[in-house]
Amino acid sequence: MKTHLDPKTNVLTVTLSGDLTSTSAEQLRPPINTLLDQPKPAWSLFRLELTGAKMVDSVGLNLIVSILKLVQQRGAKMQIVCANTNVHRTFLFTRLDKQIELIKQ
Amino acid sequence: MSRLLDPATPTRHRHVLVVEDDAVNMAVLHLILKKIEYLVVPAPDVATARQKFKQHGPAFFDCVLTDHWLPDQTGLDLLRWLKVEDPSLATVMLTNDNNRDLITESLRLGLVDFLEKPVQAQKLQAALDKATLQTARQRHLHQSESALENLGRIQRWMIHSTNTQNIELCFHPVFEAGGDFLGHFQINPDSFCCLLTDVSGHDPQAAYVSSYFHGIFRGMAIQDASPVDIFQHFNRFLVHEWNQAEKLRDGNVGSTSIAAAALIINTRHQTALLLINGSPIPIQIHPDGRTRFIGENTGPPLGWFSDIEINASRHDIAGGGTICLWSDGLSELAHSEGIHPLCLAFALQRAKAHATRLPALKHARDDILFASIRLPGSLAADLFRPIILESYGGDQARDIDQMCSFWRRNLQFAFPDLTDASEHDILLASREAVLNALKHGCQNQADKIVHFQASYHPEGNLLRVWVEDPGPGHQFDVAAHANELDQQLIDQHRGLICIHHLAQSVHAERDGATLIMDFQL
Repeated sequence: MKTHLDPKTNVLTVTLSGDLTSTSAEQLRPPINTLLDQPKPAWSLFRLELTGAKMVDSVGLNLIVSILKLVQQRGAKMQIVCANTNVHRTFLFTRLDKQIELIKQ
Repeated sequence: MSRLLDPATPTRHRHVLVVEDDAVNMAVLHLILKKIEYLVVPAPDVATARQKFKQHGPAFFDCVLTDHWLPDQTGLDLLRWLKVEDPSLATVMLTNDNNRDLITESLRLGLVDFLEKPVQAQKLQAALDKATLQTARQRHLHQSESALENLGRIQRWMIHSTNTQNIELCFHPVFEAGGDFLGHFQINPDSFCCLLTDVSGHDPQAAYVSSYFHGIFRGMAIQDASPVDIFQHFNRFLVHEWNQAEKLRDGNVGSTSIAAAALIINTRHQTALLLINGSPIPIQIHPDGRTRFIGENTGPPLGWFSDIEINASRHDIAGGGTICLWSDGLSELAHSEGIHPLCLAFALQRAKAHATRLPALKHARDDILFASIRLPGSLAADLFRPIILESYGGDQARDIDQMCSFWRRNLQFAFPDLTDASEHDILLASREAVLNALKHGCQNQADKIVHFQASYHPEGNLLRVWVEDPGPGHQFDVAAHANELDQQLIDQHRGLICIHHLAQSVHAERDGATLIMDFQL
């Protein structure tokens, strides 16, 4: 997992390598929660980069929803960037695109 | 002088074609060869030698003795020609020329000996005796190979002749003749039998033992002997007679054994009796496509131990379906390809239907025999073809990535043209269903089992996946739950929502403890 804060745009980017599934999601949850719990530095947009993922399963989706809730609690917005058509389709049929800005590369 | 031969003269003496242009040398050779009981056919040059060879035919000569430097061509040229015409005929060269290159090339072409002129009678005799013996051995070997080829041809023909309306067969022998065999015969008006055997070894002995067992089984079965008694009888024969005879002959403990599967179908009672000793456990495909291993209470191969347990299990076949038997060559190749044996069988059946050969067969190290026996009452359209049939312990959720990789390999092997989207949807839906079954149906307990099955139905080009757990299941309104997840941002329970979107249709039984998902390929 890589994180990057752009102070000019106030965008916090978290990049995950590979799939977001039951195997990886539970390992990612603690560091992401820690990151989101920190009050500073301030940011207004949380971008989750999933361009390396070919599969996101229900546990991965649940993790995304829990991240969204924390992001919303901070009054910020959330964006997901993906590259794989199947992953993009998964976000559409689970209607997460209604809650999160979805960008397909 | 030795007798000059008339081609029509029948004789059992050793015949040598002597190619020598020097008349004096030829006369001397005649004298020596007569003394050591060779009958000489003389030729002063290569052209005449060829003509004499053709005149007498390839099996006539026992060896050739040739000079190197001849008026028209060389002894080496003759050797090259003979290698094509009769590769079993051994040649000795007799020359003044001891050039190293000549010797090397002659030996490369299979020359038995290289003699320098003038030659002593003893040396000449030793060289020609050696050449004659080599020719005899080569011809015997060739005859044995031909006999083996014939045996293999008959065996393959007999196996393929069981390809009837009700038995679909895939047979891919690696060896010319061997012990993999399938017999199919009527026992009485109500019963027929399929007997599949795989004898240890891949040679005529294995083919002989296999045929012997099939003959004994068939003869005793039609005389109403019980299949268990026949297996016991042949086990005693192998242990106490055949393997003892092998021990006496070779000094080693005899090691011939038979892996056998006998399936006796009774059409009147609609039952199948199954005996398995050493063979892979067969499957029964029910008309609705559900597939189970049957006759799991197996014994060791016949021939291993004096007293072995032979169990017969009886299975209900009312309504039809299919039973599949196979030899371990299928399982071994599937294992080396990292796929399920049923996936390999499916690909073999498909390749056969398209009259093509599966590329993976070039990696086969053992004969492969797979028989799909359609049970009475089945329609061709009923047939689901299983590709994956697995069971997972309730505590195996941590292995879900390996399971997915295995399913992917099988899908890619069975359906090389499968789209990326279809593959993704099948894998993700299966993953969700299995994780759900392990977590909720088995509560992650090791002693509870999840059954996973993927089968193909040719009508409609459909893949059906079954995931079954031992739990009670629970009622679940997918549409209501989807709205709830959206509105309240609940961060759990998205698995079933995914499954319903990924599969073309989803059907739940026992309140969802059995989930059946269909995917259009």
